[in-house]
Amino acid sequence: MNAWLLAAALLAAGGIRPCLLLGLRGLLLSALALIVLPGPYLRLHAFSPAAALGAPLVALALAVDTGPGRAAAKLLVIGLLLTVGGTVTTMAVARTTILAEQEAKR
Amino acid sequence: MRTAVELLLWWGVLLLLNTVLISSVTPLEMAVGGGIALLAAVGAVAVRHASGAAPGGPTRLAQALWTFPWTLLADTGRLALAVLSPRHQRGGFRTVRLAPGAGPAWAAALLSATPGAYIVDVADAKKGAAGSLTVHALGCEVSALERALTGDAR
Repeated sequence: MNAWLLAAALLAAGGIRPCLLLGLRGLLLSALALIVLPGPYLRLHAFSPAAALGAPLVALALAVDTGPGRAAAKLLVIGLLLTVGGTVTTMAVARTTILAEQEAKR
Repeated sequence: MRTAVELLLWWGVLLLLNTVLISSVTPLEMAVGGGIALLAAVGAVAVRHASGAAPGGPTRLAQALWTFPWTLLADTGRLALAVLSPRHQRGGFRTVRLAPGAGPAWAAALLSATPGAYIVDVADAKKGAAGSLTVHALGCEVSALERALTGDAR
C-alpha cells in the first residue's frame, strides 16, 4: 500500500491521536538531531522531520480536531507554509554555508 | 496570454490565502484584499520573469510523488539511527542527474523535503540535456525518491 493511502487509513481509523503522536515524534527528532549531529551540513538534515513531517501532521491533527470550516483550512495552510518554508530555508542555509566556506578559503 | 494566466493564478492564490488568514470575511475586507492581491500578483509575475525561474517539465513527477512518503519515513528512520549511533553520522556531497524532462525546481524541493538529502546547487538542463542537482546526502544509500527522479529502475 502506498504511504499516502496508509496515512489516510491511519487518520480514518485512529483519528487525530496517531497523527499528533507521529508529528510530535518528528519535532522531537529534529530537536535531538540538531543537538547531536556534528557539523553544519549534517545538522541541516535535522530540519526536514520538523518541516515535512512534524509540523504538517500536527496541523492536520489540529484541523481534524477543529472540524470542517475556515479555522481548519487556516491550520492546513499554516502546515503547508511551514513545509514549503522549512524546505526552502534548508536549501538557502546550505547554499549560504557553502558560499561562506568558499569565501573564507580565498 | 500566458502572462495573463500566470497573473490570474497568482491573484487567485494570494486572495485565497488572504481570505483564509483574516479573522472576519466582509465585503470591504474582500475588496481591499482583492486589490492588494492584484498588486502582489503583478510583483510576483515581474520577479519570476526577471529571475527566469521555471518549475520545469513534469516527467517523473507522478513517480516522485508516489515514492515521496515512503522516502520521507525511511529517511526519518535513517536520521533517527544517525542520532542514536555516531557510526551512522556520515554524509557527503554527490551529483544527482535527473531524467530528461524532469523539472529541477520541483525535484530539488521534493528531495530537500526529505531528511536524507538537501540540494545545494542546481544545474539547469540545456538543449535537451538532463538537469543535475548537487545534493548533500545522509549516508550513501540512494533513496526511492532519488531513483524515481533519475529514472533508475533499481
